[in-house]
Amino acid sequence: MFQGVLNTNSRLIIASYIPAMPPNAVILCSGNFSVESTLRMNGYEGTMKGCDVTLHSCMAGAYLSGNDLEVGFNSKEFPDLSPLAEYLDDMETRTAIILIAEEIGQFYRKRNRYEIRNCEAILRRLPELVEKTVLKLQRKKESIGEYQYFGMDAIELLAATPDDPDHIILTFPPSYSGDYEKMFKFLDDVFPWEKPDYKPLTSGEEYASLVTAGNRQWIYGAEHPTSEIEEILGEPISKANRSRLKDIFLYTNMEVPSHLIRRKFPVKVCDIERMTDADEITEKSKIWIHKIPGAEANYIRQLYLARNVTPSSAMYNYGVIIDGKLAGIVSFDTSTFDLPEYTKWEKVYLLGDLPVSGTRYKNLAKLIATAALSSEMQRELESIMITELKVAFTTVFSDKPSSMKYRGAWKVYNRKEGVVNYLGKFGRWDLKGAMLKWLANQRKLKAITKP
Amino acid sequence: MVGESKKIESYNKTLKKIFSEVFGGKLELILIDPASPRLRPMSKNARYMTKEQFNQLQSNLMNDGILESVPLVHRLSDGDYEIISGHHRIEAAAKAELKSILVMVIPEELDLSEKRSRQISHNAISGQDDMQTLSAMWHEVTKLSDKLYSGLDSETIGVLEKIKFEGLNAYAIRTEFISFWFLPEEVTDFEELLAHYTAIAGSKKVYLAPLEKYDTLMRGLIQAKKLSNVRNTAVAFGLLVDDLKTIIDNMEQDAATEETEQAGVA
Repeated sequence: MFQGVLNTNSRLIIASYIPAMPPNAVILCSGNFSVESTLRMNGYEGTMKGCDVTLHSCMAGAYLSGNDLEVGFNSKEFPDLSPLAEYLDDMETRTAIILIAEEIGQFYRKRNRYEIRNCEAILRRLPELVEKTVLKLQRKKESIGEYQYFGMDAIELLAATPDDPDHIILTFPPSYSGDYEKMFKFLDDVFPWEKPDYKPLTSGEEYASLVTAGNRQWIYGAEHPTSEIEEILGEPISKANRSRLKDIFLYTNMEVPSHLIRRKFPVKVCDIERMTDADEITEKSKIWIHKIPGAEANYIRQLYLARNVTPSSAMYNYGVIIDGKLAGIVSFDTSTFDLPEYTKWEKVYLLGDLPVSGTRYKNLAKLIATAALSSEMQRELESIMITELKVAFTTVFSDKPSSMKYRGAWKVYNRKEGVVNYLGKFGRWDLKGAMLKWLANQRKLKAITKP
Repeated sequence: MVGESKKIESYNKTLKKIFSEVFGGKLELILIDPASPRLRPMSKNARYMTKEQFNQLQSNLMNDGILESVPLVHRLSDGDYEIISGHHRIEAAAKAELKSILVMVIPEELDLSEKRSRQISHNAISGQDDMQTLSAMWHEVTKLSDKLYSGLDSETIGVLEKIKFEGLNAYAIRTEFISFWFLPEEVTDFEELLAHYTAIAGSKKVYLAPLEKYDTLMRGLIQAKKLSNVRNTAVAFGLLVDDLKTIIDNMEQDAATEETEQAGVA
């Protein structure tokens, strides 16, 4: 699937500027035509021109603008994809095939059954997918309406655009030049075509200078604003959050209101009663884990997460309940960390563990961190992830050599500057065992601190 | 540093004199280091801030170099101060490394009920915003940096309208969620349960199975994932189904062979 720079939040802001836009819009680096779609579907009635240099953009752009673009098929290297070649005679089905081939590209390495299955499924259902993609394309063409597309470098189209305030340049240059080409290599390999000549963007400043020169109006999007580029573009007019990705900053010379969209987490009040200083944990206490929705876990995180920790949402969230009251939460996510000793099925990432505050216990955090490795937690995660877990992995962002709450139950895996990574083996105790161990430590601590 | 603290002490004497004249000793104003251990937080505080809000407050204080609003504290019997209102402002001021902030002091120690009621009132009796007016005010904040300072955003104010949008991608293969619910065998009211669990699962198809089969299926799925090097459960399930098909085919072939052989014998 095509990954563009513009997300929902950026599109909201751009759409709000439509009433102020001049009658001619020129979109440099059309990508997946998000700008074109945003403008046209939300009332922009002026002329629109776009350009780009990839096969994806050039094929779809040619189709949307009523033009033709021929491609070949590399049957020598990709004989298994020959069913695709049957649809290359007609411009409409050819465009659909390029979009579908992009999906195939995600799985084409066929490293495992998942990728093989996806490739096979797409090829098996090719006639249906082509037919339905064509319908999507027809709808898109109708909604975009009058449109001109040029398979050329942004700089070339810019140079050909009249230098007057009746024209607006909209550009969101990709910030990942190397990967950008890699992203489209698969398509280029399968479908040889006459690529337009272009010079990869080497300097953002040079490009920004060209876009902003003259009398045209412009909107420029950047995800890596630097003081050098802001010397050219001025202060940003808007900022849009893109969840875990970098925020997008918009710059313009138009007289439009500034906008700001901050990151927000879905939050719902968690009404499980929380432990207070009136609650005592004893050997007779009952402890269990309880699955809680992500939005409720976010609420608890807002209340108790340390200031220096960046919050993020996790897939699997559990409350640690003691005698019916919430003592803390643990949150896990599938692990992307490289632990060569363990297979990908055997590890999970502990994204967060935190105790509620306001209890009589100063080191409740240690109990929560220990409970996270209990056999009950292991079984629960195994059943939800359908895997056999051996270890959990977590990261502490701190300059201290170790973290008190992990000491004992967890082991330091490695240290880097400001980061300590911990590894914990599952199933060495159950929840009750973890609690009794913690209580024993409590007694020791009390004995030590007694005058 | 000593000179600085002497200066603050001298300012505080002057402030005390002025406030004593104006408020008759009921209220004082002092300058204090926000990181001072003499400023103690309350044991409980219901008001919380998201990390983004706190970071913005800290950033504003760093930019301004001063705290523009005045927290309220009361003086404890040992001479220290307990914060009644302004916990986050004081914490953010300390993190922003402000050297001193102005703090309003109730000069006598309040009992628990009194201090809690003040603490609650400072948060509860804080008024509401009329969204139309707020929206008009928001439009008057023209610079992005000023909007950041304000702590709100365009979505919260509701000034950005919903838009229409459709991406340009290939039609995606339709997938369907199916659920398996493992229940104790004594469960008999099958139809009712099926409808109930289908609604909970939000899936189109729900299959019920006896609880005792759960571990067997899980083991099978885990093994299939390992052997085929995939994480995707649907693929693992498909592999089990493929295996099952092979077994059934073999059984059918065996049965057919046996039948032929028997026919041959007959």
